[in-house]
Amino acid sequence: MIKRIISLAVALLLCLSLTIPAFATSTRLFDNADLLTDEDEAIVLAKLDEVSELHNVDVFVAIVESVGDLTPDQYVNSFYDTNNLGYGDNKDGVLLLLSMEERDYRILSNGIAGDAISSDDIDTIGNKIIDDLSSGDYVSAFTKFADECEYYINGEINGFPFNAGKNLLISLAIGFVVAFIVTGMMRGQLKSVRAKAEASDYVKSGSMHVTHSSDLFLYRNVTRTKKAENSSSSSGSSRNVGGGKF
Amino acid sequence: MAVLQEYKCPCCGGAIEFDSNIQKMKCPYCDAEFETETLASYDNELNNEHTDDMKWETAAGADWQEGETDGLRVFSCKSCGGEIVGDETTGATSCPYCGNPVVMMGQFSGALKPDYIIPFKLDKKAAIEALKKHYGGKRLLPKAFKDQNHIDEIKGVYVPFWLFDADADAYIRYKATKVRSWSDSSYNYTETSHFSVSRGGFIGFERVPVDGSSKIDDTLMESIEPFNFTDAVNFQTAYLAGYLADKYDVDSQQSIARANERIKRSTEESFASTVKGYTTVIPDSTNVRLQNGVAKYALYPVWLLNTSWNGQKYTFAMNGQTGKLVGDLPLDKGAYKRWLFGLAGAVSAVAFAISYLIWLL
Repeated sequence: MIKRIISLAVALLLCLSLTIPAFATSTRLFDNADLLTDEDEAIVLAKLDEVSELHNVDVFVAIVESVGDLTPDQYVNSFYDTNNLGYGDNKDGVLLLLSMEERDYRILSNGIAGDAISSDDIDTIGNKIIDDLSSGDYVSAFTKFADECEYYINGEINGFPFNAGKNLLISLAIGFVVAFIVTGMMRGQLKSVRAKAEASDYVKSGSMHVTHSSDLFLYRNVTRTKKAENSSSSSGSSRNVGGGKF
Repeated sequence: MAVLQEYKCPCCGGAIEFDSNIQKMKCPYCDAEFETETLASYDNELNNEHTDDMKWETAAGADWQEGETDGLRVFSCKSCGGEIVGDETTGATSCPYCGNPVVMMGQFSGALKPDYIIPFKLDKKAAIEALKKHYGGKRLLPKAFKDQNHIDEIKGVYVPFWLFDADADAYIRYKATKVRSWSDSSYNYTETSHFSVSRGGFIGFERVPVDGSSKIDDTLMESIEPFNFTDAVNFQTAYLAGYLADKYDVDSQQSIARANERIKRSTEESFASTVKGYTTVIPDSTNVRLQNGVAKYALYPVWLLNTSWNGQKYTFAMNGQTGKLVGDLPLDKGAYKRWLFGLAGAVSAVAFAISYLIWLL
């Protein structure tokens, strides 16, 4: 009995000492700021559950009042780890976190979802939902987020569907560039009257003598650029974080 | 008065011409052939025979307004007596009445005598063949232009050129960089080393040609370069027989600027080729001084062909020595659009098919 009391007390202390709230529930929606109505919560949660169960990759939405003293990136990482989010041993999952006070949003992808959703993909998803977030249409934003995650995760697992429109546009661009180059060369054949800017045909053979030659070193510049880091790993599997203001 | 020179065949008295195939003078009437050197002596003798004094020529000018004949020269054909009107630069032509080739001696005498001449190596047939070849393999050339091709005029012209010899003393400074890149686990590094590179020295140019005739487009003449000077011989008027010739009307002083431009550019390029091992080389300052600059006067052989199509005139020039033919051709806009969209469609379709195949794999 004493052991149980001690362990409870330790757990309680731990909870208090952490700035990150740990949720005991196994839900995929954390509305800490009480942003959504119960009806909306039900709709969003149903959507998240549906998408998550399709590929066994959890899709989470968390709304908090503030990130406190942490940066949004630190907070979203802690939130994911503290709450032990994600499916299976690799913690496969995607988390969209809104911080209402700072009006920051962060998307974190981890595990297989980290492979599926790169930093660039996070930016793409962010761009698609930012208008809804800004205008307060959260249900629409979360639904779109879930659908986008499903698209990338499905693409990673089963392969992406053939994007005919995009491929057609790229093919047309290639076609016209090639056609312009080839017809440009054909047009060039019609023109043969050109001024000769140089007189290299009339250099006396063997007449060139270099009598002075100096190669003087002046100075050296070294520029350093950080390598693009798409993933930071916490448990050996890939993790990406990205986001912005809404 | 202006002196005309016709070369008469010593055998039959017919007017003889320079034949580019055998590189000799040949009589078209009796097929007798003569070395041009023989004709040079003959030329001298003929010159000595000129004792006529045709005073009426000045009287005929009474009806002309002052200044009206400034650009004209009137000659009298020695074969048929017909009046040949040329402009002040005409040096050799043919009589419009009897067709005999004539050379205006006064245009090439004294200080106006060219130093060298490269005789024609290729004849009219070769020029026509070269033009046909020039039309070939050009898909955007209007078919009608090719099919309805009439050569309005074809003439072998000795074009006056100024040839500039000079030694260039150059000092050129370049800004050069070497770039090196490497990376470690978290950073990419780029190191740019800057150098000041200078080169100095000499380079010699010989016989840089500049067109000395204002009637002929300079760009057209530069396009048929180079002429091979090893074929050049000392000037003799006999070579002009059967061709047209102009004396220069742009003097060497006016032509020198163009020669300087070309010599400077070539000097820069030649010395830049000795700056090796750098990523970028940009000329910073160029200083070229010319020494021992000499200008010579030469006549170079050029076939000029004129055609007209859809009201526009097209001029082609062929190097009478090397056979290089140039001339801008019209564009078939319909064919251009067909090729552009046809190619774009075909390449796009292939690219799209490849993208689908990649997706399948």
